[in-house]
Amino acid sequence: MSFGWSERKELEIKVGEHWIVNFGHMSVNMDTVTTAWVAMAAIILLAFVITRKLDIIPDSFQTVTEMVMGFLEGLVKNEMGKDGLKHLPLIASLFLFILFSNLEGQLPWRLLPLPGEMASPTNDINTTAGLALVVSIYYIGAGILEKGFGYFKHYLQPMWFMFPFNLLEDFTRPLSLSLRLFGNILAGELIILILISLVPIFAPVPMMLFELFIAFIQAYIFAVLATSYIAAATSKEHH
Amino acid sequence: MDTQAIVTLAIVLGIGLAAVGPGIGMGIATAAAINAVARQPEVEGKARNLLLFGIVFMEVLVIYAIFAVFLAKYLFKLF
Repeated sequence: MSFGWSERKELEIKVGEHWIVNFGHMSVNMDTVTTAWVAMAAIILLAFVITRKLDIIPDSFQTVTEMVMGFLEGLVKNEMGKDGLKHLPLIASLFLFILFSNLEGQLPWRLLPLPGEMASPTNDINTTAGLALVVSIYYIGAGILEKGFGYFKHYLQPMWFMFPFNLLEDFTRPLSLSLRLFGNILAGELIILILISLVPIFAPVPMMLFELFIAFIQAYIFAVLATSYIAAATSKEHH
Repeated sequence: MDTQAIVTLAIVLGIGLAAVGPGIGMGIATAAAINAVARQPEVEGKARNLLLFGIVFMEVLVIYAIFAVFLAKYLFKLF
């Protein structure tokens, strides 16, 4: 694909095509892996730099960090109370990783001489399915740790014949969680691509700004849904 | 009409029709949230969270339609 200035005719829209590298039997989507590592490196670097000199009177970086963490803490506390804070590391990691991944899609990757088409790692269904599976394994595990074998009683909860529907829920949750994130990010990138192919300058800018907003919303929604699933699995009262 | 024209039409109409229902639902939900905030301005934060939570489940229907369209695209080797 080209920049679309002079060679507009050559601009073709590809969906879901990746820079694939084969390692033995496995084929790896190299662009997704690279951008995911960039997102993780950015988070680790920021965390390292900001926590070097913590102070009672915070500087601006520390204020922002404390605001983000306070917001996530409020989210978890609101749903699960003070006991839920042990789940905060997972929720916060998911939120930050998805946020950084989504925002990465708006970086000018085309300026670098890379062999693949770099974009958000969350525009690959493998990434989002992995994240969703982590959440679903985590909430089942947390429920078993919290209630022991009694966790499985909720499958028969209102009546015994509701068992298939309750079991189905465990499969539709990761499906909808992964498809929502994947679909939102990929659809946004597609719309920007279509706008670029129609009007190369200025027209895609509002959509790009909207994508920055979508990045926050999607990360927030993923965190909220993960929190509510964990809260439902670990709640004490019988419903 | 050849197959490609039919599939293209199906893809375009599929997205459009899938957006109708959730669009109406989102309108109703947003109207209810605005009503709630207008009656009781102090519940704004809670109403916003509930609205977001509800809208997420409507939005995923359109996302499923997009996914089905991608599948159709791959099955018929279009674009």
